[in-house]
Amino acid sequence: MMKNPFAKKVGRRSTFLACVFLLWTAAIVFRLVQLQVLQASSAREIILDNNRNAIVVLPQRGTIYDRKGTILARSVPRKSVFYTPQKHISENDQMRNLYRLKNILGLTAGQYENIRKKIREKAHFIWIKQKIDDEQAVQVDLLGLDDVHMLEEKKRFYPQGRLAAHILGRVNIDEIGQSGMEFYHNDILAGESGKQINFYDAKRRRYRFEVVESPVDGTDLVLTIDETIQYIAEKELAAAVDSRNAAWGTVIISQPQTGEILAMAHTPSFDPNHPPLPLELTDRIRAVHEHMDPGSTFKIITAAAALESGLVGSDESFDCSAGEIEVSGKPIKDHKPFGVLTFPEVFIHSSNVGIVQIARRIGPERFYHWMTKFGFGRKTGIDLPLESTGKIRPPSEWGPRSLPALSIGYELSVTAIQMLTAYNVIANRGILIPPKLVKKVLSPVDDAPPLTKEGQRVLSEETALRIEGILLDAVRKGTGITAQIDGYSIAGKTGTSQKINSLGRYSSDAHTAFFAGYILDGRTLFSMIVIIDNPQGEYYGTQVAAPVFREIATQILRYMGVPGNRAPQMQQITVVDAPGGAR
Amino acid sequence: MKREHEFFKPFAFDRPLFFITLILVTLGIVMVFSASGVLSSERFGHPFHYLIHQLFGAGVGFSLILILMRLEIPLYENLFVIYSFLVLTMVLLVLCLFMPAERQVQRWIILPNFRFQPSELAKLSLILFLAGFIALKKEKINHPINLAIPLMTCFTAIFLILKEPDYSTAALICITCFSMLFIGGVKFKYFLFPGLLTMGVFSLALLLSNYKMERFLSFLNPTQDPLDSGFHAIQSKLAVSSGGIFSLNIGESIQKLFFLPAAHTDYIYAIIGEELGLVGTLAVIILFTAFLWRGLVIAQRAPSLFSRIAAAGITLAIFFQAVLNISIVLGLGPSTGIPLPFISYGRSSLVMTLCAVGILLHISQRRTNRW
Repeated sequence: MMKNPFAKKVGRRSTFLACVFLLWTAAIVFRLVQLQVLQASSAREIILDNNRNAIVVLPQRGTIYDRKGTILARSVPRKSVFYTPQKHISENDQMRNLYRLKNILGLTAGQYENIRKKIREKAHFIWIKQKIDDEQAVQVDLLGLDDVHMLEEKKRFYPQGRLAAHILGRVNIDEIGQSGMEFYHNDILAGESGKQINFYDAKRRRYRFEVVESPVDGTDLVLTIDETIQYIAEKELAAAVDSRNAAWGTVIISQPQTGEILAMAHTPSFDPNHPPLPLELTDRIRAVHEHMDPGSTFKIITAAAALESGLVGSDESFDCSAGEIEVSGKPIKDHKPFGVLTFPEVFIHSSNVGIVQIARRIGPERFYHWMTKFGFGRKTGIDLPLESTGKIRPPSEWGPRSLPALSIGYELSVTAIQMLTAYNVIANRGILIPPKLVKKVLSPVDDAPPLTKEGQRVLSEETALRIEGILLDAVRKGTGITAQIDGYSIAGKTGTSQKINSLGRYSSDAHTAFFAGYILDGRTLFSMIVIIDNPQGEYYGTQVAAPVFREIATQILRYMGVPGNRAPQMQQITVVDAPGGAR
Repeated sequence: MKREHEFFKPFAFDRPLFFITLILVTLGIVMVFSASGVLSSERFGHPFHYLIHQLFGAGVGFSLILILMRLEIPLYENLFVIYSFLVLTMVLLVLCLFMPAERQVQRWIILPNFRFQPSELAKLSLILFLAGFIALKKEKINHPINLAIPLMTCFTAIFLILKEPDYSTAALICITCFSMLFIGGVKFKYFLFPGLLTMGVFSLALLLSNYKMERFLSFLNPTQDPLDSGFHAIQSKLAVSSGGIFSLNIGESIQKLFFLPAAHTDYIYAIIGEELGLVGTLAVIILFTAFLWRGLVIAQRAPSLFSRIAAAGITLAIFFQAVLNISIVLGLGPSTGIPLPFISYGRSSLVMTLCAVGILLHISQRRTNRW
């Protein structure tokens, strides 16, 4: 019972005030319902978005080996530096920190300014530099900067430097193949990326992660390339291109029985660890991409067509004494008059006059048939990107001079790999075996399909042997004499073609020098094509390309441990798979 | 203050109020641990730093409650004690200004192994002082000179707190003092001006928080800097909202991972919202409302005018502080820092609030048959 009126007043007023507060409390309850019932899911989304991040976990890219197991390309861990702003670091300090990084990482003025700009714009995540060296990473770590973090990525590394650069190719910053083998077999090498969810606190520090999907590492590749042979080829080719002031050169060395490419050299070359700009120059693999008029090296096709068709008697002779022959009003010339030549001698001396006479007997349709049979005009199917088909036209598009021109290797274009494949047909006694660069796919499960490509007979063994005889003589006593190595049997043919100039005409002062051939030792040891483009001074295949063949072959024979056989045949050396064993 | 007809009933204290307090403090300890574990690990290498200090504060606070309840004589009602208390408060507040600044503020008395925030003491001593003064003057309080004395005292204290500076506590104490004067019978007209002023300030604050709503929308645009001052408000609302209706994720808060600053102190209610959902946030509100109800019942049954005013004042002050803190967390007020009574981390606050509850409980043990 309340008697004191003042005390009653206190009670009333307390209750009144409490009611006011309770009204406000009711408003709070409304607000809670609004937030926690109506906005719950959208808020949850924002929070999770800030807190977690689904990232792609990159797989380990497959390693590329040469046929002996030497590593040609592999992926190694590398740190990447990135920047996230921290509330407690003033902009001045941020800039000072960046300046310290600039010196360690060797940022260019442009990169530095760009990052400064992004910091000023308050970007959340800025790459400072990706895939830095280990020493740089240690230095950055020692700075202990709160706003600078590092992330481990993978960088493609080519331990052999420039060796086989074009074949290996390059990858982009995300390790996706951009050229060469890296591009062609990217699916095999790349593997499958996994998925991981990272949980970050507000300072962008990861405190937990969940693997959603494990990455599947890429598969390793074993190439048919032999590191040593590749090295020899590159060294000698570079020396030749250099001394001849040539535009470029390529050498392909293969094992004809299997089609395996042992070396594919290019000059000029590059270091795939630091691919130069523009990248397109590094990405065109001239041995398979560049196509040109093959000149005299192509004459074996004319010989094969003539012999296979039975159009030429074995003891028939051709009159080449005029030194030139009239073809629809214009002469085709030899570099000197030869007199009367037998069928083999026509090829041994590479007499254009004789060959045109033979070609006229073959006729367009048959000649075209034989070009396609040797694989010209289509890709060889080698495991490299940007392979050209070369260019041969069907007889319906031919002019009156086309057949004679084709018979001596003009009015068509072929790639180096096509030409070598054609010579391998002779080396293989008439069987065409497509070239290949991958020896083995090192799949973790042993279910990789066999990589052997089916050979196909395109020529009778007899014809092949007869052409081989011609080629042996061409080196022993013909135009290929400069390729001769004492004590070895070499079958081969030189070639010199005039380049097509900017007017679309055959140029008289720009040439391509060729030599294609192979070394026999009971069976074929290896075949090789040498192409030197636009040499200055001497330009004949005999002078420019054949000596390169000899130089490279000599060194390879030494490496393979094949002694010269002045003595009786040494057939005990059989090359089963890898050429030679001794180094 | 006569107590002739009053008698003391030990252990007859208001049990609901005691248990409400116990539940709130326990919830506070759990939530402080949950919200501060990561921060503590980072600063001190183990997750228990804030938990241990909060447990210590709770221990001291409940000890004070037990001691207070065992006293037969209500010391807090003794004018000499009240004035000494007030003088001590003022001295400590002045002393604060000579303490080394921490993050540009001087809010603490810092001694080795001891820190104390005198503004927390000021809340209680001013309530007791005003209760005593009003009980003494009764209706005469409306006389200008009589009104001037408490006003001068309050403003001195508020001025000292503003000097620290601690605007939010100053505002809270200001409103607490007005509430005391209001329930103490000061005429309505005297509140007109300060009332309008307060309303003006609050509507401005609401406008500002609306502006922050816009900031929240623009926050979705990632080019906007999320590290600016609107960060608190945005992150605390996000935290509360994300809890949904039912949530039982104690310890699973994401926002406490430095997204929400002061997660274990002024914004602990947001973490409750995130980890316990609407059920948790409503439970806290129900507990505080129950606290208000029991406190007013105690005031109603209080044996003397002083104890009635003091009980009502303490109850309303604690409830108001809770409501204000929750409003701020929910983005209904300017984002300033005042702790949530019983729950937020902070030993000074916890000890002084429990001390006030001790007084309330003591009042509830006193009976009279005179009224």
